[in-house]
Parts: sequence; structure tokens; C-alpha cells
Amino acid sequence: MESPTLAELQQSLSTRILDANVQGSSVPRFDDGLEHHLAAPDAADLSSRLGVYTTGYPARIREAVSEAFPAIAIIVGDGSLGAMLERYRPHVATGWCNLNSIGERLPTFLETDRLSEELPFLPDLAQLEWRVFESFHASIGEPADLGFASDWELSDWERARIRFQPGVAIVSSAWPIHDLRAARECERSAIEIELVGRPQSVWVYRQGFEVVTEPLDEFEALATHGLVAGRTLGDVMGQLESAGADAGSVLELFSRFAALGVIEGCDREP
Amino acid sequence: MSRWRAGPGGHWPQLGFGVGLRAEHYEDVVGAALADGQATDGQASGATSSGRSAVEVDWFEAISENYMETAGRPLAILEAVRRDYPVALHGVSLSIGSSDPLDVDYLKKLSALVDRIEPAIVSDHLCWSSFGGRQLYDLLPLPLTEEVLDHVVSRVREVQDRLGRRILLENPSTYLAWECTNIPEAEFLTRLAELADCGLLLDVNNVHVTSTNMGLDPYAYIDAIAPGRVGQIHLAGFEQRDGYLFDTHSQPVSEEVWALYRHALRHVGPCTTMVEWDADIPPWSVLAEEVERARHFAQAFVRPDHQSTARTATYEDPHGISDPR
Repeated sequence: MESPTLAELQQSLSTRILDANVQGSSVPRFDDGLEHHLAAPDAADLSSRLGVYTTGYPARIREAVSEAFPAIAIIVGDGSLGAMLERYRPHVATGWCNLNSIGERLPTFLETDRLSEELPFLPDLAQLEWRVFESFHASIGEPADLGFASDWELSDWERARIRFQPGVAIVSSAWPIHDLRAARECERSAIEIELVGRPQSVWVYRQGFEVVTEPLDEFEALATHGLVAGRTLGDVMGQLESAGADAGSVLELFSRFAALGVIEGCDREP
Repeated sequence: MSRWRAGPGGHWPQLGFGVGLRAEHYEDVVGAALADGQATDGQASGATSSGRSAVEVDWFEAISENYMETAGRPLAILEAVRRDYPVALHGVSLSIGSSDPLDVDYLKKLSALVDRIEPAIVSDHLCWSSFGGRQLYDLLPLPLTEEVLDHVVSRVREVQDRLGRRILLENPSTYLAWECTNIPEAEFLTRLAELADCGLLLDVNNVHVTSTNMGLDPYAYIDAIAPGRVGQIHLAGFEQRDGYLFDTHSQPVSEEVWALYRHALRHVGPCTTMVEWDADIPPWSVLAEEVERARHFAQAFVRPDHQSTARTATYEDPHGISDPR
């Protein structure tokens, strides 16, 4: 009998590692006799030795997810987190070696996961934690020098679009996600947050190397969503007026953004 | 055609005694301002030697992948460290033994990081960690055969060509072997280093763990390694599991490993050494004590004219261990 090739052996072990960690997997094994190709000093040890590799894979995914989603990990608790990650593993994009990216699809996954039936705020909380994670790793350029706009008329400002630093994001939810995120610093048993009727929008940005999260009121959130999406200040002012808010507050927000240095540039539509 | 001249190994930079750069010790290493994220506008304020406290190591090793896809604080800290110390980049995802094609995207990112940091050493592991385009996030054992040796040799050459420098490959901790293995690991590493003209990162803890798990003689293992190819030594701690040793990097270096380290120094001579501690990370002072212990043992085997002077950020070859074209 010919010796198996390197690719065959690697397919066999990698399938075992991945297959062992997918609930109800029907992935066919290349070689159900993997153990015949493996050796350990004491044959009785082989399954426990193989277990070092098959259990290492989910452990690393769990560690990476817990690091990027600390509030989710605390709120969900150890047992449910493990079960949820077993369901999440087939959704993981495994092409890139950076374990940090393993949580990228978790917010979307949670939208339909059964755990969210019990804890319906999980997808939005995961979205917020992922935005914080992305902001932490984002680059920071020089804040825009807005001196060029000192002679702009109101009509110029209405045609302006803001380019934000890459670390800026806004997440809105029907749930108090800012307060829920604070649970990452609590003991699980000490978490007590009123959930009903407390929608929150959270603005995420960087100050130096620190990621800042700040809850916004309804109209600030409406304006910030529009500006982050690349709408002109005039469009956003119109939105605010339609919503019954003071359109001038957009310019106040702009000044606040400029003072915080989160504006990378500002372009005027022709 | 390879850019690398065939020839003897050696001429590895002597960096002294270092540790792995870990987030838990950022403040000890670069000062509170940068470690706490108080610097602004991307400037590394506080990241000067005056901001350091109690740092008694000569150099730092950073996990390459942690700095490849970030532009935030981790990279700023690494750059601040690099301004004051030599740095080694140690990878875990090169997957040099995979039957997949080399990951060109990974190599481009590694190359960009190498250009940015100008590390003294670039290293990874003799293992495979991906198959069929899927990452397995582990250092998986290779079948050690002539066919696999040829495969790994050609890939190391290609990596070195792409990076424009020699790399070191580390012996991994293993828990089982492939039945078809017919070359002892130490011999495989030595032949690989000679044929690919790369260096070796001798992880003494891994030698102990693998030898215990696989019923080998760790002293004979080290004696079979070509001393001139060893560019760096790792020390770490392990845990005893049910029937095997597990390489956790969560404990002090064991007495068995210290003894093996002294043996390795007798075999290899003066060698850049670092202590790895990646889980249950202790206060800086505990890690510094381990480093001092390594320094103490090493001094007994090092002639005065060979002692490290690498307590500064500069060293003779800014491109590390690369040979000129």
C-alpha cells in the first residue's frame, strides 16, 4: 500500500479538527482511520493526544471572541457562550490567520441565532462591540485643518460632506446597548439593567489610542447617522427639520466633531 | 533562483536576554501615557526611555500577526519599543509545512511589517497551520520524511527570497507523530537549515515537552542540532496533563528546562535568549527574574569577549541576519 501524501494526511487531520467542532456535522471524512497514521509512545494515549489539537481549535476561537466581545461573553455566561460558539463556528471566515477577525460575522449570525430569542439585544450589542474593536485597530490621520472653510457662506456649508477618521462609527438600537456594554466590567451576577423602553444610539470614535463610546440623544443620532453615511450637511439639516428638531444643531455637532479631531476632511459639492 | 548564498550558518545577532512583548506589560515597557492610550494624534508621547520603568531586558519579541492588521495602539507601542530596543518578529501562521501554496497575501503583510519595524530576527515554526485555505490556529506536527523535507526546504527558500532575509524556524511542541516519520526531528531541522540556509530557533521548553511526550532523550535531541544554525533560544513553562506535558507558557521555567538550557548553551555557545509567558501572565518583576536567571546561567558559559552588549536599540546589522545579495 502506498504511503499517504502530505496533502492527504493534512486533509485527514484538518477535517478531524474541524469536524469535531461542528455540531451535527455531516462533513465526510477523508479517512476515518486517521489514528492508523498517527503514533504516540503509548497507543492508549492517542485519543487524548489528538484531543490536544481538536480541543485547541474551539478554545482559541472562544478566547478570541471573548476578547473582542467582552460584554457578550459576560452577559451570555460560560455555558451558553460555548454552545453559541459551536453554532457560530461554521460561519467563521477562516481564510485569514488573524484570530482577531474571527468575530466579524458574529453580529449578523446573532440576528438569527436562537440565543437572541431569549436575549434580543445581542445582535446590536455585538455590533457595538465589533465597532469598538474596529476603531481600536483603525488608523488615525491628521485631523482636518478647516481654515479653508472660514469664508464659507451657509450655502457652502449646506453642500459640505464630512469625511470622518476611520475609527468613527455609530450604532443605534432599541435596547440600552451603551449600558449593556458597561456590563463587561461587572460580575455576571451583579448585572441589573432595565431593558424595556430604553433605546440607545452610541457614537464610537478614537481619542489618541483610546476608543471612546458616547450615547447620543435621538436628534444627535439622526444627524450623526446621516453625516457618517456621507450625506451633505444640508440634507441632514432637512432631515432634522422634518423630524421637528433644530436644524442648526447640525452645525453645533460639526463644531464638536472638529474640536475632537475626528474629521479627516470636508468636501463641498459643486 | 534563490538570492541566498549557500554557505555556513552563524553570524546571528547577539541580542542578549529578552521577553515577549505582551499587552499586560505595556506600561512597564513604554510608560503609562502610551500604555493607557493617552497619547494623541498618533504621536507616541511618553514612549521614550525616560518613560520606562524597571525594564531589565535587552530586547523584545513580538507576535507578527498581532501587528499586521492594526494601525492603532498595538502598532504604536511596537514602534515605540523598537525605538529603544532590538525587536524580533515571531510568527505563528506562516504554515511552512502546509501542502497549500504559500499564502502570498500573508507574506506581503509580513514583508510590510518587516520593512516598518526592521527586526533583528524573523521567525516562525516548523509546522503546518492551514489546509485547503482554512486556518486551524495551531502548530500542527509534520510527517518528517525526505519528501516533506524537500517541500519545506523549497518553501523556506521562497519565503526568504520574498522577505529578502533569512528566517529562523522553531521546533514545535508535539503530542503525537505521524507513523510515516522516518527522520528524527533534530536531524530534520539541521538538514532543513543547511539545505534552505535558514536559522533555527531552539525552544528548549519544546525540546523537553516533545521529548517527554514522545519518549525521546532531550539531551541527545539538542546534541543533534547544528550549533552554528541556532540564532535564538526560547525558554518557557509547561503544565503536566493526564499522561503528557502541555506547552502552555503559563508557568515559570521548570528546573528540567533550566538544566537543558545550560546543556544547550554548552552546545550552541552564546545565544540570544528569551522567556515566553503567554497565559496567566505574571507581574513584570516575576518575568524579569526569569530573564535574570537565564542571564546568570548564560554568563557561566560565555567568555567575556562574547558577552552581549545589546542593551541599546542599535546593533551592527539593521537588517538583522540577512546576507547581502
